[in-house]
Amino acid sequence: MSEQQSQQRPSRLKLWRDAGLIWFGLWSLFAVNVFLAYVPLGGANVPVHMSVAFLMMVLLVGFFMDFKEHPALLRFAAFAGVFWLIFMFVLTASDYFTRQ
Amino acid sequence: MSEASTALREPWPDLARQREGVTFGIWIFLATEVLFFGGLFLGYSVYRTLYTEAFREAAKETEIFFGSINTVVLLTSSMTMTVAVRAADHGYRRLTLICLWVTLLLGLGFLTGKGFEYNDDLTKGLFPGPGFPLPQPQEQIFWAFYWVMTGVHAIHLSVGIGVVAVVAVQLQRTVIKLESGTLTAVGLYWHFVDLIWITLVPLIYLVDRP
Repeated sequence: MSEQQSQQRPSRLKLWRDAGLIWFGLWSLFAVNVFLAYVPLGGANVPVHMSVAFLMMVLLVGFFMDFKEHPALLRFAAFAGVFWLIFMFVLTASDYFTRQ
Repeated sequence: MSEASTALREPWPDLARQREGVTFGIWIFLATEVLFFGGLFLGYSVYRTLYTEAFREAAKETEIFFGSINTVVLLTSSMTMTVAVRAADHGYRRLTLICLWVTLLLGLGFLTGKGFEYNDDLTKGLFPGPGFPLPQPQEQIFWAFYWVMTGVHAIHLSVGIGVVAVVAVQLQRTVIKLESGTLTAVGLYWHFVDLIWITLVPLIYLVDRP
């Protein structure tokens, strides 16, 4: 590695700090989810828990998986899975959840 | 010959294209994994809607203590994996290797916790089949999903641990170069396994606790 590259690269402490912040965010959201498990939420139970889990996924995909740094082609490949997943859920739901 | 040039493999014209190709390939693989686990989540959703009360009662038997400890362990392993990948990107060889081995140990820690949890479940007889201790027959469906989903997740994690071990050894022997993009792919797979766990935890341990 050249001297110029060495000067440009972030310190080890910064690498730990950046990842640690996201880890703290993930851990905090999980703590919220566990706390909510003991709060009677009635019908909102599943949507609330899955919403907190979704926020954790956003943090993980966005920052740990560096999704925001990916070029468009890679984002497209990643979205393909989610797209067909939605398709699968919608088609199944249109049958099971509309039965009389 | 510089380390960057030896990291380049056929048929890539340069390292940037090689890294993009590797990342593209792993995302395509992960898209298929999304659909694989998606089928399980979909099955769970359908049966949960059909047998809401039975699922609610069955889920109360899960061990939230083990679930929570394992979640924190896995989230921490994702952090160390992230540091490993970024350290590799910036040429910090020693830090990369340390973080990879710590990630591997945390993965083993998760599996150990899962082993204790499975032992606890089996002691209580919570495996679908004759002599199942819970009263409603549909409660066995919840536990069938529990064993299949957590089992398949544990298999994925075991594969991840194996891959991390191989890559760490090859990095140590400089068979694989830091810049090659291999670690980026391994990191994405590891985070995906974490992502599946984040989705599983509320469905199995949290939603029916009150």
